[in-house]
Amino acid sequence: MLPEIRSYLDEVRSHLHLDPATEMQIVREVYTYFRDSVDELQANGLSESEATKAAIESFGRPRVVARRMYEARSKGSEIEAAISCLPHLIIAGLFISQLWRNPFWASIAFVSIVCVTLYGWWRGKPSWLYPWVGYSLLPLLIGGYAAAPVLGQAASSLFWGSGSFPSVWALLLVLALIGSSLWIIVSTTIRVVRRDWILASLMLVPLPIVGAWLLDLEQAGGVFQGATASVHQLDMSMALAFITLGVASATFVRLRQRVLKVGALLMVCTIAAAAIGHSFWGDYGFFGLLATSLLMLVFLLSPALIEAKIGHGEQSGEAWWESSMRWEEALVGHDRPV
Amino acid sequence: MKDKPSKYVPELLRGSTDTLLLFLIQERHAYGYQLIKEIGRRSHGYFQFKEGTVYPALHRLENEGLLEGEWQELPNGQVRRYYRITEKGKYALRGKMATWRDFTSAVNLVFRPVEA
Repeated sequence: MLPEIRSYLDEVRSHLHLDPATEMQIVREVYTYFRDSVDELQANGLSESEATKAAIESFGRPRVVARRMYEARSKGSEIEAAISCLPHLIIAGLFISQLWRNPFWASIAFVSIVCVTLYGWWRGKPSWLYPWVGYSLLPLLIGGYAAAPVLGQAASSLFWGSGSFPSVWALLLVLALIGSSLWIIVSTTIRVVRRDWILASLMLVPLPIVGAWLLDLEQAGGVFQGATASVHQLDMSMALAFITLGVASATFVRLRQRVLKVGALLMVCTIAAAAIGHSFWGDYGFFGLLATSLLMLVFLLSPALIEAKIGHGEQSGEAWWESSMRWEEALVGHDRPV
Repeated sequence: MKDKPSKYVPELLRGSTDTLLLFLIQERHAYGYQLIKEIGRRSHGYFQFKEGTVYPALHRLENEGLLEGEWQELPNGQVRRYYRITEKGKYALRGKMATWRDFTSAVNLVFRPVEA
């Protein structure tokens, strides 16, 4: 393959932000166009370099082509939008019915969410998957929260000499739990960011909301305290926040243009965070509201910074092209489902 | 005086790209480059589709379930992505062609000189 074509296709791929199978289909298809076009132009008397230059110019700027391809492929069906909304509604349902206190129903909900996540991951990571992944990570956050008192006890005993030091095995277990949870959350985030930072933001958005909820409950006496009126009020606020996130997810899947997806996600989730903050901490003034919104905005935009650092695609350029070439044989006769 | 050949307005074509692509693919399975050439040939060079427009349009139609793409290997060993129309695509094409016929009939009626 000529370096000019390879460089063009690399740039198209780096701006596609679609699932790997679709990206490969698109790049291969554009490559077949170049092959046909260059052959024809050469047959008409142009040199190879002239023909390549003309074919590339005729196709248009790679960023524009990538944007058009993204818009052609990124809009999900109504069913996909409903599936992406579903985990938010399941969690909202747990809060409305207060079944999150019931270990059986809470476990059933999370096991179902993890099963759907694994299925979607195995089926090529469709765009409806990412809210499900986010909720699958929640038990890790909650596990870390539950294990944190052991660390606090150890630190208190070590630095201030108050209380007894927990057993070494308990401490090691807690450190392993927190370490592995962090590793899973970070590595999953990086993998998702490599595809598209917006999907990582969509995935991570429940985590700060649940984190703030855990902190607020801690101040009110802990997660497993009795159900008081204020806790009921919090449950309703949390349910409303998750329903709002569900609407944001469904809208995200249905929108075609990337800029609208980013706008909808940032706006709705920031409003949801501000509303949750207001519900948790009462009337905390304009600046409190502004600070909560800004924090959420920074959190949602942080995957974009990670993407700028680590780049796009699960494989480097060279490795991707090697696997792409091998894949050509597999493409014939069995189109991959997208 | 002989009329100059007219140039089409891209905005006029934009709404018809899908119809033209669906129509050609309904006739026979085709790949992107072939479709661009075929539209140019049939319109005697009047329509000159940009490649960067046709391929995204094909993918959008496929995403909407109106087309299905499949890689096929040619006798010379090259592979190409051929598109074929689905039942949903055939139904959509019938609707688009009916709309287009009604539209052109209405435009022609307006253009007809008023009889004194």
